[in-house]
Amino acid sequence: MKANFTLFFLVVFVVAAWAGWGWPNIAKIMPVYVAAIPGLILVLVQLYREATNWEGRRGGSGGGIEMDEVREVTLDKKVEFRRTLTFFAWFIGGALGIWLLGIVIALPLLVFLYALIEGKEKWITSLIMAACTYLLIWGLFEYMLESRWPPGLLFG
Amino acid sequence: MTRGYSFSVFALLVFLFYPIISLEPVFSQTDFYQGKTVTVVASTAPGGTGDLRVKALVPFLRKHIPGSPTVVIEYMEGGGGRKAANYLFRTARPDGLTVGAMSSGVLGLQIMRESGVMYDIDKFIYLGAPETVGHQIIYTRKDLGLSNLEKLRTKPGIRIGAQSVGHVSYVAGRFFAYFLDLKDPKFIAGYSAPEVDAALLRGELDARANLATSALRRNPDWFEKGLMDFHAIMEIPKGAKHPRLSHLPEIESFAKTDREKKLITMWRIFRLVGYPYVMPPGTPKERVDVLQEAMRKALKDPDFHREFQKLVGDEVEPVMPEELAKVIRDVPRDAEVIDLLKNLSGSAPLPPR
Amino acid sequence: MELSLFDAAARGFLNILHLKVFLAMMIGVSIGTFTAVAPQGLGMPLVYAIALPIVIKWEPITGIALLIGASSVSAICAAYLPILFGIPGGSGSQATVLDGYPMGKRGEGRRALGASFMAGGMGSLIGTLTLVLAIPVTRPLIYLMGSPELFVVMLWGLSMVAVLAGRRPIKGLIAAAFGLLLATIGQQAQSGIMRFVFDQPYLLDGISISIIALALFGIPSALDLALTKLGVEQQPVPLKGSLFDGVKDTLREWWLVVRCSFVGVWVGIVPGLGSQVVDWLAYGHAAQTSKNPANFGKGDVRGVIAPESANDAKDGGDLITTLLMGFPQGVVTALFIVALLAWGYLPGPEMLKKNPEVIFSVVWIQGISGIIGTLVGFVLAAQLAKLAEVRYTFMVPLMFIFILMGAFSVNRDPIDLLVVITFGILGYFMRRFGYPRPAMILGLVLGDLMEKYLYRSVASYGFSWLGRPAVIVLFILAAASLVLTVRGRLKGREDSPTSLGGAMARTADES
Repeated sequence: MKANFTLFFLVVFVVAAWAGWGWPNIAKIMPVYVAAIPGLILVLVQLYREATNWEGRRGGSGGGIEMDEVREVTLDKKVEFRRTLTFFAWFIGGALGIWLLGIVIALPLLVFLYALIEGKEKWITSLIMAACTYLLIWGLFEYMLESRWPPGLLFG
Repeated sequence: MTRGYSFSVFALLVFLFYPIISLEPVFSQTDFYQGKTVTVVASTAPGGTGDLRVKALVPFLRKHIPGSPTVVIEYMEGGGGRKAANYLFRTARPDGLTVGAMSSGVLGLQIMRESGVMYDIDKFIYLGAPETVGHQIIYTRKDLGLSNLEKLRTKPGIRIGAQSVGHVSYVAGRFFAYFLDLKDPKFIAGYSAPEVDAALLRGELDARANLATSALRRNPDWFEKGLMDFHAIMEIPKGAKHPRLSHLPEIESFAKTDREKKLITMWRIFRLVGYPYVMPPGTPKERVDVLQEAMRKALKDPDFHREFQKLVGDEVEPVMPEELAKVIRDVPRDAEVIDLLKNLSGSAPLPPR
Repeated sequence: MELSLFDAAARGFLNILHLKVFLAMMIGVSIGTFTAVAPQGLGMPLVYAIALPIVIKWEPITGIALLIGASSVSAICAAYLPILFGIPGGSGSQATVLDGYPMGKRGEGRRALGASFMAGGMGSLIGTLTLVLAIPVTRPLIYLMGSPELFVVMLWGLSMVAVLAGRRPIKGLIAAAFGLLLATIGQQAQSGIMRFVFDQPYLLDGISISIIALALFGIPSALDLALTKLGVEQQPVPLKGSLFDGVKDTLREWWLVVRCSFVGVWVGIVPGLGSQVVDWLAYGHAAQTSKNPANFGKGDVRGVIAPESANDAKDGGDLITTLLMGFPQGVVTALFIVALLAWGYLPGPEMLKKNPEVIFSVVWIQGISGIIGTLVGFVLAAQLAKLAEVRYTFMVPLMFIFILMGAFSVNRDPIDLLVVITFGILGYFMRRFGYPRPAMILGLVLGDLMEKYLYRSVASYGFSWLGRPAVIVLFILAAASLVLTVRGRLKGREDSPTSLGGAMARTADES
């Protein structure tokens, strides 16, 4: 899985170099010569390191600070996988809802359903949360500021 | 109250009001807008000078549309104005309740056959425009000593700064360089608006083209104290003299061929159209008439002029609906003129004259 | 008759000693505080656009009090989102998430908030003071930094990737290269060429950095809550730290506050440098120059102090160019200029000559509202920090609102949602497999600027710009900074193998 993710960067840099190769130099320098090609070389180095377990053999990464948040979730792998999928399903569902129904309907609906189904909150609590969301999105923006959100695809 | 009594009252009300309800279609269109909401689809982001232009007009539309409907703004920035224009043309309902506040580039994008254009400027219904994009001028740093056109023409490699390739300031600079026969000019784009002035004063650039009103408002001492040398002007509309720069030669006086004159006419029209207000094709004529009349009144309203001047800093130079439609109909569409304009708008070397 | 600066300062102060000016300032402070706690979409540009038609009918000083009151406070109070929710704040408050959120998760949210408000308040005052000091010497400040000099400064900024890459230099550089690549999407201003647009009108203007940052950091943070099914502070750790601990931390790190404030002021002064770089530059500078950077990225309070002081000092820098040179630095200052013009003032040297007392009124209002904003922040912090104790069934939907609404409000285009999903998934995998997201963001914010300055330098000067004295000095400083950073990292590797091993165990890939 780790190597697969590094491959993602490999594909990105290869596509970038290929797409940009035909541009004049003025357009090509940064994306191709500064980003894509050096990036590609670095990815190959990283793939080599992963294939040979470089970091494990050297007893740790290079010196320095831990420059991104360290995850300390200690869950059973299956539970973690299921909850991650569920989370993204809710998030992507919310985004789909905004596209289809418009943000004024979709966000309160998302909040209501998430609280009720996933959070197992009471009906009344979920309804109140949805109402507050509606007040924010419609009340503040559309009613008070007269700045209309675009309607969803189904109402457009 | 007994059930029978309630029913009698109900029946009486229906009997009294039924004729009124059934006669609704014959009510004048002026009452159509009462209680309704008109949406102005603005080709700009919320917050910003583009937004202020629209916000300045909205209260006056509300005032002058009979029935005083609610007028709200829906923001649809993107693609240099294409997104809003495409939406108005293809998707918006032509029911008289949707108006578009377009960007100044929509006309040029279609004429120049740019990609992503899915609208037709000849089919939009025009309501008018509050302002044109005014006179363009070109000026150089005083310390270069280019005090007249002869010296300007003989100086090789003048560095002309601008925002981005295709931006109004960039194209204006290219126009001036082409028509004034500058020697090997260099066009350096990629500055933001305030950066160009700073670069000019720093000596990183030699010249720039800019809106006359903008340049003089920001830096009045450039003109009053002669800190810059001003060389030429493009009048928009043609013949309208700038009060302080009328002595500058007009760019069309340098045109040598009919093609070049048409080129200037075409670009002048693009600027003259300003930020047009439009309605989707197929909107019922009665409702178009109502909104066009409301727009005429708004554009002539002295309170609007004051408000616009304060918010936007520019004078209202209204373009009425019929004038706007005519100007767009009359824009030259010759293929060779368009090709020349595309060349001047791009980054390739200037073509020989 | 031209006033002396002292007279102008005194008159400027007297101008604001009216009840209605104070009330307008308080209204502005309230609006600014509200926008700071509201989701993105209700930012200062929209507030200014709405307020302008109203305030231009007021007396100038009263209108200025509302506008400046709102904008100066909005930046100070913006840190609560990154600290409590792990969602990057608006421009200028993104880097705070790197250390602010870990502090929140281990029960030190109050301390982090205290530090951020105190640092913000101090930064705001330093920015205001710099504005005052700059009044006699403005012109050289702007003209000192041309495109060649700015390019070298961007190189120095990019050298911070070596710091932000932390323990994974190769992965950090890959992330930075990816960020540089993303920055090139869209129509290139210098040539008009469409790069990586693939005929999609949405990509003509590139991908919004706000959406990317929101998704990259916000979604994984929301996911954490959904995974553990606990609130931010409902981890099995005791609550510790108070607001005043944060204040003490900031006072102890006063020299860091001063340095980062000057970074902020400088970013504010230079036309064209966006507000999106200020917090990253300050954070990178703090990590780069710290003698013991081991805790950066894990909840080091200095990682909160640095970006917050820079972000709030930047307002002072913005006002220097806006008021004294007439150059707006962004949408908000452009709108402020519109207001000044409507009141009959011409920002720039003219205003300095004819209306210096108005400039000083702005300065006084900026300083006073900064202090008020800090106090408001402290009052709010106690309440806002309780959000961290709220259970996940409330927090996750709240974060959904912030992320989806924040992303959608940028262009109001459904494709914004696709972008936020894509980068949210990317952020998840980057964090999981150890690709530092800050390095990517740094590449993203600096890439466009570097390219622009390099192009302009070569186009204007050929290659002679390499011989400019300021360029040579800056090159040496940037090189020295990089060498010191690399040396520090190598030294760190030699000195503490056990802690590296521990870090290795914690960050082992889960695949």
